[in-house]
Amino acid sequence: MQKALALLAVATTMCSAQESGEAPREAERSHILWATSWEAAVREASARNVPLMLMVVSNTG
Amino acid sequence: MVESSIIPNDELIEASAGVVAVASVAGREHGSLETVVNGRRVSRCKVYRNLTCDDHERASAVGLKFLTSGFFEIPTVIWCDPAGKEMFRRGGSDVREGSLKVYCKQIIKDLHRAVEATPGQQRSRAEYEVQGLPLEEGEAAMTERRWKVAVDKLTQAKHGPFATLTKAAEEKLDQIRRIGDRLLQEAQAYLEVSEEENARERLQLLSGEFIALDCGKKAADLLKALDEKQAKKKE
Repeated sequence: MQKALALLAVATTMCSAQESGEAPREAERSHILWATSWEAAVREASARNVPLMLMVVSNTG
Repeated sequence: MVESSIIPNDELIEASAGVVAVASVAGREHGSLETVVNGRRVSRCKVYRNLTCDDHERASAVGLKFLTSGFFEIPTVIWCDPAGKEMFRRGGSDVREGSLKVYCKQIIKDLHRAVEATPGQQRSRAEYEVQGLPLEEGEAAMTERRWKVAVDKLTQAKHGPFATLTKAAEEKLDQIRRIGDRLLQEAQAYLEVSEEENARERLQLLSGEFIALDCGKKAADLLKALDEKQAKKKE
């Protein structure tokens, strides 16, 4: 199950352009852009008036 | 690394721009990599490529705050309103590699449901980023004590249609101002007791990193005066 979600995460965050040094947001346009923290996420969601999608993929290492 | 073409997820990626996504993931056994972002060498998670492993581990604590029942499915997607209050959730106990496409479709359905359940005008990520991105970069620079970059980015973030972001940027700039003012006071105190090298250390920092602020400009003047004074002594 976790493997499947890891696949999902990898598939939605593959970012080869970033490795070449492009500006990160530009490279991530074709991938899910994850918020860097819950606080930053709530700030953005509140400002934009959009929902939050909290994906809990694992609870232990 | 899995090729992105294995899972047809374009629709999910596109739809995700209509929400704010948070990855709650404990553990870092998947590893990280070094990459270059905006000319700086940084570490990034191998799986969640715009995050560090610290980022998603911090968010894992948030995930556990929602999952308090003691038993929950992994994965679980929790949909929240813009203030962070849960609207509904979906466990993914039936997710297997073969049915991942189905699961993606279900997430997309839920995403639309969450968007429709959010009343009022919704703003695009592109609109937000004009202000939100420099704010985030400014805050990161502050944490790393790169004051000049922080002041530059936060000043940029002050201007835009989002009042909450303007306020956040102003508050951060005030914090930097207070740090700069304190350094300037220290430098002036050292000058008064002729501890010129200690004063110089602070004045150089201020006139370099804080130059866009009043304290930086004052420091530059004091540094110039100190240079002239020491040059005269040598004559």
